Amino acid sequence: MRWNYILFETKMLLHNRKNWLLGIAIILFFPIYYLQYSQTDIETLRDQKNIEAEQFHSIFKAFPEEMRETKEGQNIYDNLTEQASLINMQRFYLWDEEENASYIKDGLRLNELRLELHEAGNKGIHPNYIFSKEEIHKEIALLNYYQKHSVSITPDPFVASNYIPAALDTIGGLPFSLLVLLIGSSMLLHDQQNRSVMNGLPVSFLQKMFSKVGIHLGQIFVFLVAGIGIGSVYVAMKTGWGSFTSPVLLYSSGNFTAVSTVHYVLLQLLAFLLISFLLLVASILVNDLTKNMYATVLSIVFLLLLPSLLLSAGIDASWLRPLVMIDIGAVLSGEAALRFETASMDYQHALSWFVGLSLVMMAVLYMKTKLQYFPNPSVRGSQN
Amino acid sequence: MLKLSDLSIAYQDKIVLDHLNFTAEKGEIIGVAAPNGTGKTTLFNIIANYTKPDSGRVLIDGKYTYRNEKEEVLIHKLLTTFPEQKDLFDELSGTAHLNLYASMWNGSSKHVPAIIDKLQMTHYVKKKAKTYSLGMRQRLCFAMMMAADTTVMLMDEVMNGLDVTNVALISDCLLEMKRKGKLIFVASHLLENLDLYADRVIFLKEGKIVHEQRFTEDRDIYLKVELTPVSYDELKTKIELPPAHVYIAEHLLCIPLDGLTLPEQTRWIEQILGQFGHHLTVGPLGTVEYYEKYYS
Repeated sequence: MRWNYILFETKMLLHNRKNWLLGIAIILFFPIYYLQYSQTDIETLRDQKNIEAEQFHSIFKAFPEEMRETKEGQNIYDNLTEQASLINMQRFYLWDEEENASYIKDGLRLNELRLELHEAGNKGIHPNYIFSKEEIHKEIALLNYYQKHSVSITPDPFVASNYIPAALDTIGGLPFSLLVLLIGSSMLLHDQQNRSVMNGLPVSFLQKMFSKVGIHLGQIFVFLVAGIGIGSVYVAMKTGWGSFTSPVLLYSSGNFTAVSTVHYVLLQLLAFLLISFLLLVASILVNDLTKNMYATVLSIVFLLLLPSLLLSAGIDASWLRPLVMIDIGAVLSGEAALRFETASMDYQHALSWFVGLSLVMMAVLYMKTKLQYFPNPSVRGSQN
Repeated sequence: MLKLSDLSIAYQDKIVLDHLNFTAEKGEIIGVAAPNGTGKTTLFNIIANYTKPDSGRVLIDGKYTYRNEKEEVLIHKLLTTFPEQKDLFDELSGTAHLNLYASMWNGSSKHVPAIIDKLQMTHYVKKKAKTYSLGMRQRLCFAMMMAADTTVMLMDEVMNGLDVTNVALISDCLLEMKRKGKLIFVASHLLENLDLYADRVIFLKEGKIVHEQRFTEDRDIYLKVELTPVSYDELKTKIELPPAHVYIAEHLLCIPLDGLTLPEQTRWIEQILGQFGHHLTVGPLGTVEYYEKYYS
């Protein structure tokens, strides 16, 4: 029976023109967004090292002469001198792929020196030129990854392997949530509009809900995967595939680790899957209260925007952090953790929250269904 | 098969069903006669658990009642309700609708072609439902019930929008389904048509069953004559009418013949013929006459 029901719901879904249009929008996003992305001025490793090298002119100029007369001051000065030398060597190594190992070795030493300066309190260094600990850890993570895996340290940022995670980060958060809510908004539509046909089917409410959520989830992922596929092919034809083993920085438990692009994209897709499931279950629950799909979509969008609105109004919205984590791109990159100044806004917490909230909402739906069969105490006598 | 015990429901101050009790068995067609807004649809909705009664319960197959969702699903495997024409999926064909009901209740749609043939739907069933006329839609709704083929069927306004030929066709199908042991509730405004296939017709008024007409038992025979209220008043001054007589809807005088001897019956017939000529019939009261009796 359930299988027949799923087949029928799938047939209805395939007749849903609105969802096809949204699907086309998702698919077209990936090639279209590339037109803008390819115009972006992305800082390459060479640019970064050039800037770092140039900064040393100012660092040495601003360094107090009297400090060099102390042993501590001299040590700091020596540290800075070594850093400048290492950066210039790195700039040199970047011209030759064969020198990757030397670049990495010097990079690790450079960051070791930067950390030493942090331990020494960065005395004598102008605050504008202090390399933050986050940046140091990010660079160490990348260098360790390069050392472990033989991948290019100067990848082209516009190849498919670099573009897909960036595109997923862009569509993630509110845009993706809105698409999911709009696709899911018709989940209960024919149950309401074709009530007398659908009402008495011998399938339980929860079975109906899981079937609907399941096939909508499937549809969203077909659109998403098709979009990624078409976007990748389009970008590959323009600039190349790149390497899906090249590193991407991932924020986890207060630290940055470098993982392969495949790993990062799979994490993004897992998060998208859990977010979609959560939003679809939430829309069933809210729709049960509002009985109106527009009100449902608007209520959930308002809830998702609430943390940002409260934060900009200066109101503490820390209890709404799980909703902020819907913007999974910011969570994976550590941007959300820095904005909210908490190490707990990493992908592990985010995924756990999505699972937890989904379970809570399913429990509410289950209890609500159970409660429908409890006899009204005022008429209990006559029920028996 | 189906037992309704002490069902009551009221909307604000209006009592729709008032401690209603009723029992029905397999192989019966129960007609439900009542004007609009007297609780026919509410009764069906309560039987199917689409509406919760304020009190009372529905017992199906001697063991299932709506105690939990599992039982509701078990009951819904045994029971279908008549879909409304407006609720059909415009973008789906008739065949898709039939396959849905056949597969949901029987796990197979092998019997669907036979139903299509029986209801003469072959020429349109593959087209989208939005192209159907009222009659075609109504036949499709009935065909969906046949496709589900459940033991209990609740059919609200089953003959709506059907022409004479299709009313006869559906009536035949109902008789065939009854022979197969189905319990069918039919609410219809075609009261004379109910007499053709119903075993019983119940009349709902003020939340209660005010009369139950059984076609399977011997029924009282009446001498029936069309009479204006003036003529009726005139007649009462001339003849002493039996106390059990009924004057229905200010146009039909019915004199019970049961319990009278043959000479007495002949005397009444002669008297009425003498007064009103050929406007006279003899027979039991039909659904239309009871309907007029209770609702006019």
